[in-house]
Amino acid sequence: MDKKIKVSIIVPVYKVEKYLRRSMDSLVNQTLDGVEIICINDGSPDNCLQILKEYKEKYTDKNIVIIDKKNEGVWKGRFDGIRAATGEYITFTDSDDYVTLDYAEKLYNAAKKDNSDISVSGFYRVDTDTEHIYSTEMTGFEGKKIDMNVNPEEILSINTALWNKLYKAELLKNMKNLENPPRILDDMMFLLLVYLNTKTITFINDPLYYYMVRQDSIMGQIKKEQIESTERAMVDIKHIYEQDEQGKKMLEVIDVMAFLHFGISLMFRMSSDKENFKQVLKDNREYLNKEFPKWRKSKYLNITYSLKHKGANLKVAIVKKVYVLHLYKAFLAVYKWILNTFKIDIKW
Amino acid sequence: MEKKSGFIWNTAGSFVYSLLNAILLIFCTRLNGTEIAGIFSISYATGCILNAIGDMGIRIYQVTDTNRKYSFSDYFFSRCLAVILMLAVAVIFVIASGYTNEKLFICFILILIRVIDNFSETFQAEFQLRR
Repeated sequence: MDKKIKVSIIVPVYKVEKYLRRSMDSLVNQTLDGVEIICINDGSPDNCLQILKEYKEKYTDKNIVIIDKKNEGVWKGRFDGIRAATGEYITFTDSDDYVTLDYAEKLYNAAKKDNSDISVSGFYRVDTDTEHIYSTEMTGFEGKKIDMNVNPEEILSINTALWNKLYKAELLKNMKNLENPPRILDDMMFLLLVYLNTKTITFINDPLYYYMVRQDSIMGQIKKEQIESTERAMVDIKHIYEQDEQGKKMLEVIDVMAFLHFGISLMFRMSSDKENFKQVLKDNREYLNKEFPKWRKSKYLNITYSLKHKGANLKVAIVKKVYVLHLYKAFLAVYKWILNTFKIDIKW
Repeated sequence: MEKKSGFIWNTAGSFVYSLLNAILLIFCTRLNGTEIAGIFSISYATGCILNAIGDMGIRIYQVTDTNRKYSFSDYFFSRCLAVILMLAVAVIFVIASGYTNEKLFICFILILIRVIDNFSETFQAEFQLRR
């Protein structure tokens, strides 16, 4: 292993034997030289570990590292992966998704060119069974740069998944950890902790990542403890931001982020539980008003702001109004009815 | 002194407003005859009924919100929703009634006057709050 590792790809693996080969094939054939693949088998009960070992034997020249551990959740697994990574840059992929063969190369070159801390690519949203591409997202930002000292609010327009992004290794190795990691929305919170030390972010136009979604995706019932642990974690993150020089300037962004994910996205997921939804929504509103009050008056959620700024989401600004006026429940009912009746897919 | 003149103006305004319907109807009858006047009357009445939806009682909330819990844009947005709802009901009503084109047109114009009226309410309330 005399070659310098440029990019470490961290892949948390859990119960994905059906899709793992497709994912691994796209990783071992990366066009960039000096790629390291760190697979974290998070106590997966199926055959994932065998498949990974098979790949390690077959591609001896490809720097495949397998970390086999008991199930502790993806959050801890990622940190194990970061500790083990030896590359100059680190990226994450999910083991049921796959990437284009120039994924690492293009992201690496973009990050290198501008000496950015993070580079972000576009991605495809694809149906798992039919391979039908629903949408191509996060494109059209090419040439845009985010300087966290100048325009940190722009991070609101970046998707909050950890994949389709390449991070400078030292950024992740020095990032803060949470004592009690969240059980849901963990990607978004991990990313917020990364952003705290980030200085610059670059974008490339090409969609390089295939994000697989299931049409009949029933996200599973979210339990009350899960929500509570997640809400606590978000408050912890806010405290971390409050104690940091750069973070202090971004408190409004944190509040808006909390509103977007807890107020809108999480409540959308919770709305299938018709019996308790009214109470859940009320608790949610109280939580947001108590811990993250700035979302209410934030200009980043204004309709006029979203009309003037490319990348800001007009639909979100309108939904915020609906939420403020206590009409979110009614809105969701109408929204779901439209989706089901006309069989359309609305891109957010 | 200011209060007194405000009171006079307010009363005068209400008086003129309540006379408006009668005056419009008189002009309409004199110029077009009784048949058109009949259409005018039924359309005007329809507009009044639908106005209840467009109005939504928003103004009462707005002028009493002295702590500014909600911003002007929130009120404006809710007014937009109310008016959209009002127009949707208007479209359904007009289609269901099977009016002739002429009748349909008059009816719609008079409903549109109500829409403008409703929007002006939102602004009036805002000025009332700021004063």
